[in-house]
Amino acid sequence: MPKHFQFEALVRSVLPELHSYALWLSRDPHLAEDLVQESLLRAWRSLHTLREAGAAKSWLMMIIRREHARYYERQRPVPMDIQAVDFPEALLTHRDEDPEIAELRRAIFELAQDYREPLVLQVLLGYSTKEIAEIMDVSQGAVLTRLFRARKQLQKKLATEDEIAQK
Amino acid sequence: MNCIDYRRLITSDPSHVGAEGLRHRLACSSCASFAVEMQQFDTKLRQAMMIEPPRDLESRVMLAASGRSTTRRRWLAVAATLVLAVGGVVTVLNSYSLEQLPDHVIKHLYHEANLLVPVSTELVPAPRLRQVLKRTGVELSEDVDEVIHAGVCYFRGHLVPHLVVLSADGPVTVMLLPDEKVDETMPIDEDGFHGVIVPVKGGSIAIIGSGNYPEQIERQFVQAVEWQT
Ligand SMILES: [Zn+2]
Ligand SMILES: [Zn+2]
Repeated sequence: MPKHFQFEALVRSVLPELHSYALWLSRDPHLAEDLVQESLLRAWRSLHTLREAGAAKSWLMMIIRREHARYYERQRPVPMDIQAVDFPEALLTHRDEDPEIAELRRAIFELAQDYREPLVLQVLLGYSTKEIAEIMDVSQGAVLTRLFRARKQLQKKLATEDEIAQK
Repeated sequence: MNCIDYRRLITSDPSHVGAEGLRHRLACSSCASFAVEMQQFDTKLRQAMMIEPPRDLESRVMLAASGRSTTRRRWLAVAATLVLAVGGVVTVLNSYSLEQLPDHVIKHLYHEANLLVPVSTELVPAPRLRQVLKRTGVELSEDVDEVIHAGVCYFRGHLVPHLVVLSADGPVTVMLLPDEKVDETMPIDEDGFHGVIVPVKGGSIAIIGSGNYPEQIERQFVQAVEWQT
């Protein structure tokens, strides 16, 4: 298969999930696009070593993760979660109309980075808790705790918003 | 395993509770319903986490990979010449043939069949409609009436507005397609769907209903639509 066809197929198969991952990681649509583009360009250059899409996705995810960390080392001495970040409203508009999904998206956005990332790796990218522990370089027990707290926080937030809505 | 341990486990990792967890779930009906709720929550979570990429990201990546500029503005400037110059890119930008367009529109309608039988006739609030259009680079210079659904859909490589408009003959689907350049009106007559794809200002609009042809709606959109490329 010619290289560009192979690459095009790869891009199509990984783009939606990778872009979502980059977005939840950075919470910045422009940075997310740059991270995705950068990682895919590297994939283009090493295409011969990427045999199948599943392995390629992990490889690309790790590049996005590293470049994102590097970006913050260079740009921002302040820990991200202390900074006020506005929610990009465009993220709320999606093909579905379910207001609960929009609320959930907002709640995920507001989770602390340490909770948000493992949750996205698990739910969106399908990694096991053991794999997430390796990716994030923490113990599996710590991953389980963060995932537990992340879901609890989201559910609590949604329940509170329901109450407010009902008043 | 007791209830507390089981619930803790399923809240951390709903898809991998193991044999011991499964045994508890089978024996304890209150934890079984807790588990169902948790799995439903995860389905929603996954839905919420999936954010569609911007309409041109894929083509930008392909162009950048072929050794050209990576910035957006230059991309627009060179895109036209590249279509001719780079073999690989031609397949990206033109990977969907024009003849297949009516077919793809019908397929898309089936894909979102729930929209063909609207559950409510509530109008889409104006700010929501504006947001959908803005996100896809489309503008309406005049207000359009009776829009009961406005969503952004990934269609033939681009994010486009997918609207449902209420007419006297039932719901009419309107898809605004800035990137689909058609030379003349293409009729759609298939599976009980009647409609057209009309060329508008270098793009096109697909209008499909199942009753009489909604001329009024066509006129409204053809007049109002503006593409912001
Ligand atoms: Zn129990
Ligand atoms: Zn649609």
